[in-house]
Amino acid sequence: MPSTSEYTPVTKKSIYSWVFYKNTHLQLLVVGIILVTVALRLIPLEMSKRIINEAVGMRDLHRLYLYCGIYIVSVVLASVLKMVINLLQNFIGERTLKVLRERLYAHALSLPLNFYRKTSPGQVISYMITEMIPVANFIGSAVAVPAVSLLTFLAYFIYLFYLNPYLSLMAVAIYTAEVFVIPPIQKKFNKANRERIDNTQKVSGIIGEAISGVHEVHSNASIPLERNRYRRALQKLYRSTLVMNAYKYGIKFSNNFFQSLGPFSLLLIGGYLTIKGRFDLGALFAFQAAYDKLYQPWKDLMEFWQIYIDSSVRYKQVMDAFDIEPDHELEAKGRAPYHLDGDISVRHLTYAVGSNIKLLDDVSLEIGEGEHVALVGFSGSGKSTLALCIAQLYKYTGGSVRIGGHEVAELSKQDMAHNLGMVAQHPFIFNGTVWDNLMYSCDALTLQGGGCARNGRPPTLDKVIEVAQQVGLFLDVLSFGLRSTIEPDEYPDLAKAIIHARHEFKAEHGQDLANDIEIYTHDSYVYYGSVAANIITGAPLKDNYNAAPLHEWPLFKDFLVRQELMNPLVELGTTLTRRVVDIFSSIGDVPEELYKESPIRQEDFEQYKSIADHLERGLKPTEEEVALLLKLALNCIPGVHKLGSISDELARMIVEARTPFRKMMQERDPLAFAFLDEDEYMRGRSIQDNIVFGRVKPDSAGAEERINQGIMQLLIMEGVLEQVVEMGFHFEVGSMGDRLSGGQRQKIALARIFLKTPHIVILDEATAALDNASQKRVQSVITRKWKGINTVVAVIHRLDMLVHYDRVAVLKAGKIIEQGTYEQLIDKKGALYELVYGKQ
Amino acid sequence: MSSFTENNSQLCCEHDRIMDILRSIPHFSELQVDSLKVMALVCNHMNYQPGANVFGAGDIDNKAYYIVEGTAEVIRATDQGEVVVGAFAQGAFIGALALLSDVKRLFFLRAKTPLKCLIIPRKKLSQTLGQSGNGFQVFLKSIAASIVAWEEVQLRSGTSIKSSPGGAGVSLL
Repeated sequence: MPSTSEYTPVTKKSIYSWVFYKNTHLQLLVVGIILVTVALRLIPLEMSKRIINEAVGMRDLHRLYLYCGIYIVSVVLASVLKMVINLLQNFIGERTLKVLRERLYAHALSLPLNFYRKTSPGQVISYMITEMIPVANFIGSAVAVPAVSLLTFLAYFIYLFYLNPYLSLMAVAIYTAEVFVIPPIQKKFNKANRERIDNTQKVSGIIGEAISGVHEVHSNASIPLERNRYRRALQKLYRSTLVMNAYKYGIKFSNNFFQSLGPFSLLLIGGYLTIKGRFDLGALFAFQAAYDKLYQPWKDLMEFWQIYIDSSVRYKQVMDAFDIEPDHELEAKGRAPYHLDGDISVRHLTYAVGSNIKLLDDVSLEIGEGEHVALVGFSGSGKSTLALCIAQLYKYTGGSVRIGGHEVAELSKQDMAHNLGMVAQHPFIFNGTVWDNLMYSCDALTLQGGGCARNGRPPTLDKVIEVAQQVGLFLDVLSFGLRSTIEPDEYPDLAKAIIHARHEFKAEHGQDLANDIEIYTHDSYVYYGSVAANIITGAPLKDNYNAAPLHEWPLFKDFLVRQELMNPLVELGTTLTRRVVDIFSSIGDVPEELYKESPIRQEDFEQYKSIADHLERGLKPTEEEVALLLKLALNCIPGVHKLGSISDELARMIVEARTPFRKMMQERDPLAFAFLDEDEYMRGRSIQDNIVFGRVKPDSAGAEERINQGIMQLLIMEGVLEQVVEMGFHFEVGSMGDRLSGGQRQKIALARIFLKTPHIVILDEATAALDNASQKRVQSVITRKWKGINTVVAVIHRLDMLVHYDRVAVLKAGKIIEQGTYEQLIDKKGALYELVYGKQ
Repeated sequence: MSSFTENNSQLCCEHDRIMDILRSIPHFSELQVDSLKVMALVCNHMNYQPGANVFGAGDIDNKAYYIVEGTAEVIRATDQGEVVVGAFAQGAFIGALALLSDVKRLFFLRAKTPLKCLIIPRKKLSQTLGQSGNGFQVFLKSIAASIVAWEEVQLRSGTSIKSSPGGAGVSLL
């Protein structure tokens, strides 16, 4: 049974509540261990007293060994226990950090969309990750550190008191004096430090300004003027730094002074008392040792105080930032999620933002179950806002929206997930595979107790393929599949089918697709392959050849020298280095996109930059640099890298080197390489490359589509189409789906909703990024599958789609100005007529 | 310098050829050479077979095109079928508005002969030009100026502006 604190919103909990949150027994254990540790820490002091007084004083060896033994055991035990305390402290802190981050994340995601207009992702990340670390440190140490420090301080004090009450009071008096002296100096130090930071910023500002405006400075010959401005600011910085450091050393001095004052007074008074016979030597020794040890717990306590102040401020800041209630309940509490009817009733709906700007103003619209309604209007008319209010993404400020008789504002998110699905204008695609993204809505629904297929299982591959065809994603997925590389040993049947398809492809399409493909032949240079691939024309079979990069492989380098290829390749590498570095150095932060156009990889850029710098200064490249230049040349693909170019002469020499290379390898290690062979599977190349036995030219418009159409037929005949498509579903889409086109992203979002088939569908310009043909196909699927069964509310951008809808509502400035069937509104020659045919 | 890379240091690689084209396009002529070099990296050549569409009517486009070789026809689809309304030949720069924002194409652009175009993509362009000084602003200015200049020519040649949207000039949009 969860405790009531589970239901307190995370932002309302105090930092202290976490100290004992599910940690009470652990914290008690910590206190117990601390008590034992503190007791153990006193033993060495008492033992040293006894060693001096009883063992050394009485010249008793037996006692010396005994006391020393007890001394060492207690020291070791105390250290072990201290480690246990630290481990427990760390465990409590990290465990609480995990819970805190989990609950904060769940809370943050449930906040209304408006919250994220004002809060950037970076800020949320920083709150969730960086800001929480000191808080967790505090929570972990909240019991242990003060308990250890206070108890240790107290124990030493009691022991000192037991040795000599007067001396012990004097020792504590010195610490008390420190409390009064140091903090005021610390305060002054802080103020001086702030001034210094201000002055540093001013100096930086002056430098930045002068350099940005260096044109103006030169044209006015105002270097002396700028120098004076700079000098004045520098003078202030200089003074404030001196003052700050004076306070810093003042604090150090006071600390040292009080540190030394203790032993001094102790030796003076304690020595006096011992000489007078009122204090024994062993006690004086023990007193001195205990006094020294008082300092550490004292220091720990001061540091803990700082951590406490710092983390409470951070905690409050983070919790305040997130202290907003979610607009809607996340789960249907105490009941199963509703199964809503598909009728939607919008009455006098108002949605106002900011200072009463009405984005929707008294909108009323009745939609029957299974009816398809289109919302149209100019941008800013409120059509998307209306759709988002129905979908519960915006919390309307007036009027009512009822789905199946239930007020949308009062439904939980879970109810909405069970009954409604939405495709946004710019759907978001998450990092992962195409499959993961297709299943996104279904997976979410399954976690909420629903499911996409009737039996509650995930949709089958056949179902997903069917949907992919409906939204026009099938060919895209097939082409992803064709881009994957397989190990022929792992998929022997598929590899065999592909080689068979290769021969068929050549026979059927060889002629008509000749312009689209660069075919691999033994005697022509492949411009869409790297220089290295052009020489070795194959793939290594043995791991040791895979591991050693060619440019570091002595045998290969010797081979290049023999073929007189070494110098021209290093020269090619040099040209590439110079050109890439020249271009990339002119822009500050080189976007990742640009590295795709360059043979130099992002992580290697700095290395090549320094090589270019050396070359610029006329230095001869070192052996290591030559190897890197060679590496670059070997990786250059002239068809892809615009900065690289292979002269006809060099291409001819590379082609001529193929046979000697093959010969050399067959003599030395016949099983090391799989060479290009029309009857063998090409390792390390994509399935597509393997079928066309070459490379599809990326600069031939529509080539990939034409070829994939041909390949698809062959794969069907070979019976492996499904297998390749399945590989395509496992294509990684990249961060935010950046490896997909806008159209592909939208098709995935549409497929998500087709797989989920919710009772009510909201489409917010859901086909805007598709080409005309795909758009028509998707619309016809929507009409055919859902009309009369599933309610559809669609924000429509392209007006030629309106004929497919039962009713059209035209919005303007947040109001519905007319509604009716498409024909009625066109006949009426009102607002819709004007939208479609323009102002007459 | 040896014969193998002699060409490289002169003018031979794809990048240099694209640079030359970009410098010949008035819209980009005011850009700094450094910006042009970056821009040339993200532009690509594309070959079209006769009859292939460069773009179709209704497509939402975000690319501009420069014809390197061949000719392309501008076609309007009407209820009566397709009507050729114009043609572009080598050296034409088409569709620069799409470099500002997604643009709905109202015509088909179709290869009449084997056609080679240089494609200038907006997404990559704004990413890269955004990095290098005021490149994009210079480009924005030149687009606006070219619209006004176009209308000036129309007015001077006496073409009626009655057919313009709202009865007034395009530059008043």
